[in-house]
Amino acid sequence: MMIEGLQKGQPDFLQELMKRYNPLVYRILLRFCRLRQDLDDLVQETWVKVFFKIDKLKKPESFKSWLGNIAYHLGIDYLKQDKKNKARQQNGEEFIAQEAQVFDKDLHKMTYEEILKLDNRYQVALTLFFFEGLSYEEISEITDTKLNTTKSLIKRGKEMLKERLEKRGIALWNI
Amino acid sequence: MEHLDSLLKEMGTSYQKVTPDRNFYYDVLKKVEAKQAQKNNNRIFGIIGSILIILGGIIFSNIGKFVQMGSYFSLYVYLFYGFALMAFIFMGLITTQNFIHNILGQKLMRQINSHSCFFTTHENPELKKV
Repeated sequence: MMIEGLQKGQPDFLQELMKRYNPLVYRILLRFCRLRQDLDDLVQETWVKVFFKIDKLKKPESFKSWLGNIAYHLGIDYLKQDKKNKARQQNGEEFIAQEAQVFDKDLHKMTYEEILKLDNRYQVALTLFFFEGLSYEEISEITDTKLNTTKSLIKRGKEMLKERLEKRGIALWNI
Repeated sequence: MEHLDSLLKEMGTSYQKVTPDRNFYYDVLKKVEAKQAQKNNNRIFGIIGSILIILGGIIFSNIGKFVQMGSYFSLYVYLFYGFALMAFIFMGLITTQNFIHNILGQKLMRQINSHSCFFTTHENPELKKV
């Protein structure tokens, strides 16, 4: 209903869609960008793209993956842009550390720190699967990867995480 | 020994609390409008460019006939071209009324379209207040 409304060019439906899906967009882009201003711009750019490209969405039921795909590619493009962004991120300019504060337990905080040290591909796959509760198929659509590649990214990501946690002296885990 | 999967899923519950701390809707709306205005500008430049190209094409293809200007035949040819061009522009304006409305903005369009009719206001002074 909301998607069809937006396809007819009614911006009110955009507001409804943003209410529902903006946290997902925000969290996906957080994997690529940790500067407040840049992150805000990327979130806005994602929704502007949604508004102008919604006509091309043929299956409204796959809106979530389609939206995630737009955000994911904007994140990738942001990383590719130039070295300036990376330098700014390393300097910690307006660094967003909001997500680390949501974890109450020390174990969770440590695990999250280790997740952040993984390569972006593993970070995205793990967070989308475990934190967002998306299926393998949905993650494949978002990241434009084959189903088996997605499965192996998650498996390998877990293995790497386990190794990192063991190095920090945290007990062995079943995977 | 806890299972890594269950730990990550448990973390996911807390992670859902990570949400943007402000509403982006109005910023997005502004950007959408700006982009639409830019698209409209591109369109109007395209139309003007097309008209100029057509006009240029007509002039250059008939440049030799300028020498004969004034003769009976060439006068009709140029009148015909003139009418064709005017019709083309007229049709274009009619079909893109909404488009022009969007570009010029509602306020300007209201100024263009509002006529203060002398007879109406003269007969009914109340209308002057409006």
